[in-house]
Amino acid sequence: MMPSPVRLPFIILCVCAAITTIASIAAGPRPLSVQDDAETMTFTLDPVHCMANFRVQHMGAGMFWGRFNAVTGTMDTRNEGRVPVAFDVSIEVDSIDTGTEKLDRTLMSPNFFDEKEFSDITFKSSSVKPIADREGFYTVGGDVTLLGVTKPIEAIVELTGVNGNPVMKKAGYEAIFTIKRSDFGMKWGVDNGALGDDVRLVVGLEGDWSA
Amino acid sequence: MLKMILLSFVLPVFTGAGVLAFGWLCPPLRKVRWIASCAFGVALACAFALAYFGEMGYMVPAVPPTRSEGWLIVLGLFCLPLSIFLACTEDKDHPWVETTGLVLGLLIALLPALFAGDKSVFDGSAKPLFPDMGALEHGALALEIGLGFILLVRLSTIRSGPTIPCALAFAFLGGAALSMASGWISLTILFGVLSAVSATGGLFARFSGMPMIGRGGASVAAILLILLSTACWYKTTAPDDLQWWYWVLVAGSPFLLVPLENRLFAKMPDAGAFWVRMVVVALPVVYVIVKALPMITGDGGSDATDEMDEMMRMYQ
Repeated sequence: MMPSPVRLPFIILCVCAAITTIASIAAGPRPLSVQDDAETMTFTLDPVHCMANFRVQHMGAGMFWGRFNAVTGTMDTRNEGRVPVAFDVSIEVDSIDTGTEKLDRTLMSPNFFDEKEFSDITFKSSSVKPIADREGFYTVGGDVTLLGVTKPIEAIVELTGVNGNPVMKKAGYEAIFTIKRSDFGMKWGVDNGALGDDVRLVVGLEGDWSA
Repeated sequence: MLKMILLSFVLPVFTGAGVLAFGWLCPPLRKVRWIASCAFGVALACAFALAYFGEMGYMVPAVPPTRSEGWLIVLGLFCLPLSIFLACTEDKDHPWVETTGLVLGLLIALLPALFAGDKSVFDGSAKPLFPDMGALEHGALALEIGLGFILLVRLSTIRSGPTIPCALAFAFLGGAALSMASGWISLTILFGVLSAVSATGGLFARFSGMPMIGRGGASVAAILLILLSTACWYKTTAPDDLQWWYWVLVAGSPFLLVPLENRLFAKMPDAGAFWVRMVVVALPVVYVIVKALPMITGDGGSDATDEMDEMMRMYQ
């Protein structure tokens, strides 16, 4: 039986769709790319729910933790916050909080963060690449500026969650990376072993977007 | 920890004491006028430089410095030849002392500002010692250093023996307390080293025929005391209860000896006059230490602690 003139275009369309599907499957899985979604959404970091924690070895023994409470900046994303495109983060040095005010003052002194001269630590991303086989994980490259010295770093960033509605959205990421503080000129205690050189940072980011 | 104490404190203090022993205690050397005159200044400058390098892990500092506090070591090293040069000018009096004081003040206050900054030959790569200070404040600093130099040099020509070194030991000790309250570890150690070397100078002066600290010693002491106190005040991140005039009290305490050089004290027995002078100098320093003590021990200066206490009271 011959196909009716009405059915013919439909069959041609189905064949084309099947060919396209087979071709895309044959090409292998496509990595989640920053180009995937059309619109870039810029999330403004919520200072109340953002925090930069740091960890450093004290006297060659225990790991000592501190944090910066004032983290501001923006996150550019696609797929409604699910795919990061760029990070621009700034940390106020005088928001340092170790739980001991005396130690906070020491860390803000010229021996360490020199808050009077360098009031901010900044990070600007330059590349975001998804990590294969780990959904929601990205390798983010960029420049950290600390004590007036800018150095490239690479951070592992995890999408921790996205929530909201078409009018307001929240997106959360967590970045983990390690720096050598002596690379930035913060050398006190490195040679005599009083304080470790490697500093691990765990930065929790939560951004807000509204239409 | 032990290595840190040895390199940053013990070695510089012993070096300073060694220089003083050569200049003031060694019989053939102490008769050479310029050596005795610069021994105290060279001891302070050497101890300061060694302590600084010990603190920084013996790394060569950038010149001009890329961090503002890097100027401290540059100016500290500058004090070394300055001390020897000025010791050779002991016979020159008015107006040499006044002119030198003011020129030195201008040089030390303005040199870091001229070399650094966006419009300098270094295109902004170098940092001034006090980045946010204006021309007026730099001028005031120059005047402070100049006046401090003139007063201490004048005082050093009339007062010999342990009085001035001991007064300086108190002043540097006060500086160490304020630095510790501010949280600046390196400066605490530097002030501590200078205090220990000054105290050693006082001790040696007692047993070496009552030498004068000389023009070389007075100049270095005045420059380091005023410069380090200003740097500590400028860089402090301590709360407002650490008042600006605490640094004035500490840095100004040795200059309280100037009005005590009068006829009344001249008539007093030497031992009695010495102790009265020490009490007068120590009083403001002790006051400052007592005030800074809560911030040194970590018991005070925190608004957060007060708020927490208020919250705890609500629960009780």
